[in-house]
Amino acid sequence: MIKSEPMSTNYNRREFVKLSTFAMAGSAALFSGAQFGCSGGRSDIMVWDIPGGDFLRSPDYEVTLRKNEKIWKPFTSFSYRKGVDKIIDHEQEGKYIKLGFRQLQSAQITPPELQQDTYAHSWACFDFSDGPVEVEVKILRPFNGLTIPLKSCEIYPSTLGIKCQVGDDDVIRFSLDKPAKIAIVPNSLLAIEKLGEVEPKRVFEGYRNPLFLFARNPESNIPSKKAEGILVVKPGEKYGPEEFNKAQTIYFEPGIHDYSQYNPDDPNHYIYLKKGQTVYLPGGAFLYGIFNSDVENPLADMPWVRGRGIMSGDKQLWTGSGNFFTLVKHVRLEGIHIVEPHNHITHGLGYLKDVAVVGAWHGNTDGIGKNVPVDDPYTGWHSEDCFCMAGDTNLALGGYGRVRNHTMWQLSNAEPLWIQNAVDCIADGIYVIAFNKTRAAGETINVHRNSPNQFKNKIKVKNVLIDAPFIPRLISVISNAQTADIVFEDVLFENITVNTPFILNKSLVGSKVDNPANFGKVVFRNLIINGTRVTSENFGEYFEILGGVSLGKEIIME
Amino acid sequence: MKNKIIITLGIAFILSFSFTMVTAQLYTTYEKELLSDTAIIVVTGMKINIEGGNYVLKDISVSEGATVKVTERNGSVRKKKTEAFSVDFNSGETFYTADFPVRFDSVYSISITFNNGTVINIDDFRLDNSWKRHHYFHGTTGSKNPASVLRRQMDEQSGLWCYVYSLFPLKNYKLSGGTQVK
Repeated sequence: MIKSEPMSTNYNRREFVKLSTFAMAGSAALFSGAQFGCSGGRSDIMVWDIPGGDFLRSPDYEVTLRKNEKIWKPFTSFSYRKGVDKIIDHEQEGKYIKLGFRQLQSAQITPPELQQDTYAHSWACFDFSDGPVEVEVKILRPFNGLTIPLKSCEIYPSTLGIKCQVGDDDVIRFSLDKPAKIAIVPNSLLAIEKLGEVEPKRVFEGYRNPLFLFARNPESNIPSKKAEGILVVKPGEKYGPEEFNKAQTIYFEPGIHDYSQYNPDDPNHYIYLKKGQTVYLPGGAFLYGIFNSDVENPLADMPWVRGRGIMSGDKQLWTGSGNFFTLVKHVRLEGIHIVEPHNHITHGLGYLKDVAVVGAWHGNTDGIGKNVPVDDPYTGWHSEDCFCMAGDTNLALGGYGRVRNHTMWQLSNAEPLWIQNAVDCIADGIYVIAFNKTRAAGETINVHRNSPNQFKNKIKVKNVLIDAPFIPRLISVISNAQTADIVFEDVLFENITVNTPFILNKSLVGSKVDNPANFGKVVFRNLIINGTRVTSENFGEYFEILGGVSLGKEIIME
Repeated sequence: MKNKIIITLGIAFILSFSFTMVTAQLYTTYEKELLSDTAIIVVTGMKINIEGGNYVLKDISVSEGATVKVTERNGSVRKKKTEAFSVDFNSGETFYTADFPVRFDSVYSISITFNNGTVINIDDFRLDNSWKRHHYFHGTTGSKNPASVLRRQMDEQSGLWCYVYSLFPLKNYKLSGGTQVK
């Protein structure tokens, strides 16, 4: 991952205070005899047991870790595109479903061989310190679309520089020196080769069914189960809002917890958290449940959900308001996994760190929205070091949204990055591994403004790497505003590297309306497309200039 | 030269005016259709097999020859046998349906009787008036195509399903291939 400069000295101080607090808490926990990680105590590598229930073991991949002649096998789980309905009636228990005529489900199910997009994936996670760790990935069966014996394998994002070897036994081997969130794509090069032969474009080989691996630093802030104010929840135990409300920390032990129908008074069944409250999901804990709080700001007061466990939206209703009834509202997240979301993950001010989202298969499974409406006293990143698979917009930025090190696996709907209504937005470290939009329209980075408003539209998008084998379009910077003073006060694209052999349409800059407002300025600094630096001389090969702008005036190439 | 310019501009003006008028007309028609209180239900039956991995195989031929009855709360009954509607793109099978106009916010009992004697009833079918807009746009994948609202019911013993799709307005029903309701 690209390491960026700290946001400010204030941020450094906050980080120092936070790290010191974590260190003190960790030391205290050690001395008090608290357990760290899985059974057997602390080790170099931490993996977790199978949660059980309907959490599926991967039939396609098996992961083995080796270090100092020891072996670990993290549970490798499986997710696939499956039937799900978008209901339109809360009151009638989902009897009425919104869908295309003659379809069986809102997210239509077809056999893998007929699907053009990623139809399944597997994933595993582990923590480690003091690398390197040797990783072995075994292909368990020749799943649909994969050519066996394997010809190659690539590990993305490519900026990490992780090289693997493919053995005669179809085992993929590589070494991890430091934590990373990666996608392992068997026969990636063959997939690109096949793309040259088909129209419209579609996904091939390992892009149809990849493996995601989330390797993190060990946790440093595990709550003690003996601490005052802690509610330890065993699998199968049922607590209601009253009991949860009394606890300072809610600790879900490893195993399955079904809180999907938590609150009969709330049709969305949110688990409401209060100021200062923490939910801890240790590795191996699997929670059907979603979170909300009334603490809209400041961010420092928001409750936490943290750990290495899993929260799932699989049992929540997919309704027509995916952007409002998000999985998480006004809650901070750290280190956890989110699987099978039914709606958008989150919007607004809440902070995310080290979170991985997988199993997002249908429309409205947008990823992370950081439409930060007001400038909170918090000056750090609103989301960092996250991996997000999304069936709809992967990362939406607005207001003062600041995101760094965001890795994306984007399915065929909507865009990886969408910036609108920006006041002062930063996206630093954006890695697009896949963008499977088989239809021609759609951009990888979508910046737009349609109406006059108070927004200043200062936007920085930098350190972007696009590895996707095909994309419909790279960038759109479009304003259809007609009366704003200046539409884009200061927009900078810096260090944009695109390793995408098939870019289906030129990028767009400008306005599509008559009498457009003053466009402002867009700077492209160090834009490299397939090895070629884009300059004023070759700009027209990659961009289409719309109304209200001209190269050298509103569009600056550096 | 001057004449040519005038003629060109004239043609451009006429074309532009015609386009505007046609668009306005279409828009007016669209708005008028929104005022309609009538949707069309398309009732069919099928057998669904969910295979490993949740992939669905459907047999829509089971609805051929089935009888569909629609009863209003005031006791009036409409009844007819299914007719061929269209061919399923994936399977090549033919959909057999019985189509009826229904009013928003009215309650209906719908029953389908299959050739093997299986009867499936849906006793409280009601389309909420506020769902009109859902019929216009199927937003689940971001596309804006004519959509439907589905209510379905299964018979546990036979594994047969009754599927009731509703379409609105009449124009969308016709665009979708419907011919039974005029």
